[in-house]
Amino acid sequence: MNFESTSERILVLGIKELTSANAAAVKDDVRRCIRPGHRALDIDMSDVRILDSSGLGTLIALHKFMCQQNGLVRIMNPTPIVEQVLELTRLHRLLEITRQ
Amino acid sequence: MHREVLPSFFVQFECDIDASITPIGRVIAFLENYGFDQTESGAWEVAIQEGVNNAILHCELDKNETPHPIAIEVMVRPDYVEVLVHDHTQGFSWPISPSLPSESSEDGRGVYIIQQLVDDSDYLRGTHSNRLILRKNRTLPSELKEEEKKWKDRLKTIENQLDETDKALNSTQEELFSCYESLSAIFQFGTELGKQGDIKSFADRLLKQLIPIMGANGYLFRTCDENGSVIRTYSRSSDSLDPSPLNWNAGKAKHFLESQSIVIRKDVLRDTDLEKLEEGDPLIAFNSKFIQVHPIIIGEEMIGVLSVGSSESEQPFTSAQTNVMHTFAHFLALQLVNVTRQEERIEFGKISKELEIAQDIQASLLPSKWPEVEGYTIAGKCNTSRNVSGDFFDVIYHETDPDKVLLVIADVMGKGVPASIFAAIFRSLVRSSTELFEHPAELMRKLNRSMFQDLSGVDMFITAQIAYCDLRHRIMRISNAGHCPLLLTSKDETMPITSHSPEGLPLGVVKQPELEELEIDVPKGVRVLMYTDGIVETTTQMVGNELLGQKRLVHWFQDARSVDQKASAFQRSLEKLLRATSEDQLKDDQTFILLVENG
Repeated sequence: MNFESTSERILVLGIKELTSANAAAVKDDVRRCIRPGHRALDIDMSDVRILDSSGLGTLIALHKFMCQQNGLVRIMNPTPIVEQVLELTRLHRLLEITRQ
Repeated sequence: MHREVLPSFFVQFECDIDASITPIGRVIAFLENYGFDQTESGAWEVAIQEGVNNAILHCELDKNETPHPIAIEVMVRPDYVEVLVHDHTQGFSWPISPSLPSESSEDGRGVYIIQQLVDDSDYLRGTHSNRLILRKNRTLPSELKEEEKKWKDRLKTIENQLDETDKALNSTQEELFSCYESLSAIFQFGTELGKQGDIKSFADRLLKQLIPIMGANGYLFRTCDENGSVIRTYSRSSDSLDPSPLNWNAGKAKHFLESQSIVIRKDVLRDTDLEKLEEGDPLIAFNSKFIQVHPIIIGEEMIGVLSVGSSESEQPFTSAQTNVMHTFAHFLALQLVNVTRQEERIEFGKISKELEIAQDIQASLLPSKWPEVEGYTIAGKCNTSRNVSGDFFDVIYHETDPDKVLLVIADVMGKGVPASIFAAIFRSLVRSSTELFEHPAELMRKLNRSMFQDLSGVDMFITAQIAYCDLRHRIMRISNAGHCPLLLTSKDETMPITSHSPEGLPLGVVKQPELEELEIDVPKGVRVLMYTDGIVETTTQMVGNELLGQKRLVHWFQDARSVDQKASAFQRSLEKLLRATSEDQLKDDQTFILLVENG
């Protein structure tokens, strides 16, 4: 997992999976990298092979964390299965999905 | 039976999230190997991961308690995929209609996700283990459906082939079993036959053994007589079967089942429900639905017929049962032929022995010693072409006058036993007719009278020559009944060899034949040869494998008369000539008498 950070935006790259196996670790690592000035958390999910409910929990937790500092979470280029899980759980309405 | 093998996969791992990563990856790889695309396999991966998450989440352990492993079982079917997740946790209540938590909730979506990703799910909660069942239907792309149809058709073809192979194997197994049974029975009975040698009881037992093997309720075994027109009952399964012989080529019997089988020399099968037997057919007594008749032929010879009727079976005899029937029948026929041949050999041995005895008797009837007549020697020999002969010779001395001798030689038409019997009768008649000792023609007439009826009754006749010799008065009286001439000469080389054959028909030809009697003088140093036609009709290497003939015999006689001084010397010389025959066995009997005056 990698981070690219500017003054207002932080980009998370290289997540391969987001499941109960790594959900907590991803949440903690990303939180540590977020600075007070960051208004957007962009998570590149183009390489994510699997996203389960624990992974969803991580995404929601990060969403709430960003909301506290008037920011937002954007899911970038999700794979079909990620998009399917997000839509099944209606979270595509909560988490902004962007494609580049 | 063929059983379809469908793909399935099983994996087990520790009750731990980290330990589940690799096994779940293997499950997905298994699915992808069976044609699941990434979308399909991805959905399965999420659903399985959620199931595993729940199992681990609900695992509550006491201190020092080791958690039981979790197992995943996958079954791929043509129309659906089923995944089972086995755990040994306390489990939880499976919600029938789970709902999503509030958007801000960070958990509580697992079961919902599972139910959204699969078509059917259930959670079976047990005392010590639980099972999550996930099922998702498969919708194959059209090209894959075509492919699937092709494979299904091919599978069906293979299944049909396997069924055919199964049937063939079953049939072969049945045949092998039958062969084993028949061979076993044959070996068993063959051993018994060797011990007992009773062919009739052997046949009865062998054929009774055939009944259960063929599932039959009766049999009838008949053998052909010598001319093959009548078949006699040799063995039968029941007294209800008529034991009368069957004249298969006569009258109504021509239409009987056994007769048909003999005529066409092939098995005849009959379903009596479909085609009734001819009235009077002996096989009606079987009271069987199916009847099979097998003609037994060895080489070209019809040995007999074996008939078998089926029992309650609704099925005709199988090929294996038919084979058993053929094997039994052939084996039995061979035993019968062997026994018959053995009996014939024994009978032949008896006849040979009797012929040897007859030969000894006949030899004892011929003169073997030659009492010396003063100044003369006599010899004679009878070489037979068979055990017994139709040739005969005798030398009879006058009861009171030692200078009077009767020389007798005869040849009964034909050879062997019949001829030898007449030769023996001939001898007895001559020996018993001492009153005609000095009158050979009269003696010959008496012989004809005595034997005419018997000889003409069997169309036989006898050639004979009788020479009465009064050596003191040096006269010889000869009578001839169609026989070879008597050769007479002297040691004196100036005297020609004379041939003497007075008129006379063979004995047995006419009732009162004209028989001349010739009286001749006996010259000084006389040599007399009387012989049968077997002497002159022999071929000899001495004359280039040609017939010896009378001329050559005379020539030999001429050469020998001055060299040989005694009858025994003449005999050795003549036998040397005759021994050089070109063939091992004589074609005809050879008999001769020699009378030689000393000096």
